[in-house]
Amino acid sequence: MEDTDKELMEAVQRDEPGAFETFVRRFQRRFFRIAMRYLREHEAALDAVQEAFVKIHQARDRWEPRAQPFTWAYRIVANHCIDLLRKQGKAPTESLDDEEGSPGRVLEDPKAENPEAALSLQELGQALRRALGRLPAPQREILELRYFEDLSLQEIAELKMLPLGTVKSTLHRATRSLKLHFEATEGPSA
Amino acid sequence: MSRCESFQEDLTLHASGDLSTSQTVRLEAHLATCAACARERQALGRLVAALGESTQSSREHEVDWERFALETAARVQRESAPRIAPFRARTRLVLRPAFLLKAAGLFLAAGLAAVLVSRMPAPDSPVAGPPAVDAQPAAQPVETEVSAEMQDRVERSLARQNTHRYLEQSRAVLMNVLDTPVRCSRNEIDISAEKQRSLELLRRKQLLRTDLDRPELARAASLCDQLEGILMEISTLKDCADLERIQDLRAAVQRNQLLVKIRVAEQELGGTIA
Repeated sequence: MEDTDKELMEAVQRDEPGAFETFVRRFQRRFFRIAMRYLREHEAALDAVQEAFVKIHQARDRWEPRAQPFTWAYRIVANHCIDLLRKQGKAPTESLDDEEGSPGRVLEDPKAENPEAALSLQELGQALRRALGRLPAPQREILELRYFEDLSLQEIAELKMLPLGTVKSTLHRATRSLKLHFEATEGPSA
Repeated sequence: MSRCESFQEDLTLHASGDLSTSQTVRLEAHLATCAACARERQALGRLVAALGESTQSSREHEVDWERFALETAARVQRESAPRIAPFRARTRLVLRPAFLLKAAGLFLAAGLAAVLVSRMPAPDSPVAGPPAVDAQPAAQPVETEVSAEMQDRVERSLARQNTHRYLEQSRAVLMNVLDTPVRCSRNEIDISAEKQRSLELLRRKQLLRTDLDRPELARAASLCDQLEGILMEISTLKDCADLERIQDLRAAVQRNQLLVKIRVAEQELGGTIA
């Protein structure tokens, strides 16, 4: 049976052979999406994820079992991305604009088998991006964490230090607002 | 509140897959009898699906993730600073009498062998006599000479090893504080673990004093003195240190090129260990 995240992290702390490699496999895609959200460049995000894994490994003794390994590591990845942006003289921002890796841009894949579908997805992505841009920052962030970075509600609660109920209600309000903005500009999605 | 209104949040959580089993059963029973809520659930489902589809980076699928994992693991292996946790364990190992005896024994054996070999006549020596006769009288003075010399070598070697380890552990603490910030809040960094390690290192520095007094370790001793100031500062910070203080520390470390100096010293000490 596959180890839980906490069991895996304990194995990483004990330096069990292969444990950290498993940790990398388990989280690399999710960390890549986080890095993309900040850095918006494919290669830069891949480099940042590798560097962040080095930092995570160096800091492994500091993880405590009361924390979820993903949310603990998430902070290291996000802080590393923010530091990289600062070094480049860019202000860290989590807003969605028309850069590589932002939700709409992803739909421009030239390799898409069905160009029409790709176009329609692209348009949909752009519309969603516009609608997302109109949400209040706290709502947008919860929504992005849930849908773009695939965090569970519990993980979001831990990460943002919010009660689970608050996360649920914020996600609900954010989804409803997004739907209303989306329908206002693009017509009913139903 | 109407029955439908009470299900609004559940509709969203159902669409995002976050509703508990019991709530799902309750909601689905309602959906079976309420066309308006069923339509709303469908619309939310489409929106969530569209959000989900739009999250994948266009080039995420281009990455060979298996290879990336292997390369990352290899890089981690290469670049990871020596871990700090086994600090006490490793220190205990080095200071354990059995380890010291073993190390001394190895040096003695190696030294004895070297001296014996150097005193043995070359095989083609014209004055080579029967080994038993020549070796016997030489054995006593050699043993006395070797033990004094070897004792000094063991002490020097252990002093270098202890200093090397101290610097290695100090570097790991600095790197953790400066390069791997774990935040308590937006403007505060969690350095509770590093504070403890800094205190341990400050205590160790006292024990290291005799070693650092050796003339050959003068440069490392001066570096350890510089580090002492930084470690002292870390040890006096709050567990959740102000970001500003950490940035000051980072500036001081960079200004004094401490990490570079430590690496150079580590190489020198590591390279000269017998």
